[in-house]
Amino acid sequence: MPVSKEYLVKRIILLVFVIFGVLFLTFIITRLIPARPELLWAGPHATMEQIEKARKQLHLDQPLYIQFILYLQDFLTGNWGISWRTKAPVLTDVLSTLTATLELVIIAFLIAFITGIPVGVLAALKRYNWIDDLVRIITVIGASMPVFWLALIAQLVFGNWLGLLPSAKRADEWITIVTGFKSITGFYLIDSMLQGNLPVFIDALRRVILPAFVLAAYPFCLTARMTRAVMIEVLSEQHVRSLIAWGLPQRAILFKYCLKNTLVPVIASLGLSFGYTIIGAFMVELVFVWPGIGFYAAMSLLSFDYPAVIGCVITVAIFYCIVNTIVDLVHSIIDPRVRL
Amino acid sequence: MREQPLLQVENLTIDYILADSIIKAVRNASFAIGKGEILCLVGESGSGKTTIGLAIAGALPENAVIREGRIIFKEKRILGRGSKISTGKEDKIMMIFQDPASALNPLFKVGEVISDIIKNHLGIDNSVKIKEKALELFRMVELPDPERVFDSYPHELSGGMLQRVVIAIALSANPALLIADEPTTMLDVTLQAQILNLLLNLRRRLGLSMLFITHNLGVAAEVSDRIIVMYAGEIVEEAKTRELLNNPLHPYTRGLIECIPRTHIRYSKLKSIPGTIPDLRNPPKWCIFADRCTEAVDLCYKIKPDLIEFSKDHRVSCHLYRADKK
Repeated sequence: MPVSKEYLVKRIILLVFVIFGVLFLTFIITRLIPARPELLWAGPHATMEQIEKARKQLHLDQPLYIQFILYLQDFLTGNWGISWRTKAPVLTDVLSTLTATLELVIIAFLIAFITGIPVGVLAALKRYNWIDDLVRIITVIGASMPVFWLALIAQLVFGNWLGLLPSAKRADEWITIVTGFKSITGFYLIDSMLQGNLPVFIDALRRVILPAFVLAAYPFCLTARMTRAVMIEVLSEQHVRSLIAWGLPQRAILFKYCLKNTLVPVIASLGLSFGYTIIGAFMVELVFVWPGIGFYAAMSLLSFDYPAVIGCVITVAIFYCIVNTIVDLVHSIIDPRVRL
Repeated sequence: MREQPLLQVENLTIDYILADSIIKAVRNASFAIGKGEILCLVGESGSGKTTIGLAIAGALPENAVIREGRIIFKEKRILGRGSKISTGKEDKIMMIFQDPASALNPLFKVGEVISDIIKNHLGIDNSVKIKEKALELFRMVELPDPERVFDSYPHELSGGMLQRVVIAIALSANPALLIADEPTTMLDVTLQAQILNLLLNLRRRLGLSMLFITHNLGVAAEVSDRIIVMYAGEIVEEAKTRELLNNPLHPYTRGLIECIPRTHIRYSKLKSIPGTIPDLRNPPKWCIFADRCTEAVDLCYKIKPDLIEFSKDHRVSCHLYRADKK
């Protein structure tokens, strides 16, 4: 059952408004609240000339409403300023780091989703049994463990002691140069697969495993706990009782009917955490030297690279809105009552 | 020899295990349902009538424990959670529920649910044939526009229509016995009569036996052949409908009959039975109704009365009718 066209259009129009709101807010925060935004924009060691240039760039000599219009125009034309740390346009930096993070986060969430739901279902079915206790203990520990610590331990154990997996970077430069690998989409795994470049694919896959599993720890625990709680609630509902009374096999009741009821809140919560994991991944990215947007944002913050930081903030905010719109659309596919 | 009844319940005793206590929901219930008969279980909320229905349908909640007893359906023993017999196309027990809106999963089209039940019970695999069968059932329960209903989600249908859908689902297995758990309680008065008439019609056409669970003696009087009155988990009286209404023996049954509001007597006060049902965590060892009974004597607080045969097909559990007093 596809999403109705009207609902889709409605959501997209809403999305545009929300993004407009995001831009308005970032405009206020970055241009109105600082006393002299051009000082921040030009960086801590800027000369008078550079500051004057930044003033021009930010259109601070214009009336406020024109400033906002020009701000929107700059945003749409991709003129996000130059990061003075990397000397590259912020937009280019942000896009290339965003895909690195996306590759990591998507794999992490796939792991969390694929493992978390069965574990949660199992715990719900074996309620008050040792399996349930075990799942609850593991998920509490997993959810409360600091992610950088987990990352360091994983790196130490699997990378250093056991030497099973490489524990830094996305790809070995040597292999990429020798095989003549060029990334087009920014997703190494997809690119290398499309180009039939097996050495790079295997290398990239081996390198993504550790950070992805570490990053998956929290969403896995969230999914498992949420699935368990919702499943227990769903199992006690009347419509499940009626299916039992109507003699449907337990397998069908559980995996066709109850699972669908369970998916609604689980997907909603996962979608939310997916949004903030994009930048929250920076701990993992720092430990594994993963050139993602979290890493980039952290580095930019540390060196007061104002244009880059703002670029990251806007990107993540917009990304968050898009992910939530997608979650809402998925939600409406699963639950017909949402399609209003 | 008498004909073997369709369903026989013997000494059924069911507890609900809660975190800190055990509720003795049904104690020593024995009764039988004949072929084509409508038997009504009547009682207040908490009298254990729904629990008995769920036990027969094999859909007791997880925390229910059957302590004792047997349920024999078509001379085969069935009991316990989910242990429903599934041999033969005619050997089914199906159930309909009080609240049709919550009896159906909100995320699934009703057509999908009924298709699954048909597939499961009749073993039809062809989706066109399954749909045909479903539409035929929808027409049988007098649903308007069955095609549209088939493609609707529960929230798109009215309560009366949903109850018809639920009845159609229950009929899809060609059941020999239909358990109807307060099927009209949540509906408007005008719909109640429609659904009751539908059920009576179906009984006539399909030769269905029914266990009709209700708290409303008026409804029971309209539909049933026989009535069992339950109080706090025990059967207190059982008789043919007319006999029970004309000659109620148990003080509780008499109280219930007096509680039926009568429209032709104006200005009469609405009657009620004073008191509440006893605590089922620790039910009294003596007569279960003694605390609320206006005719209780000392004996009632000492010994629990047996369910005795007062006359043919009329059983009652009350010391007032003991053999030596008769």
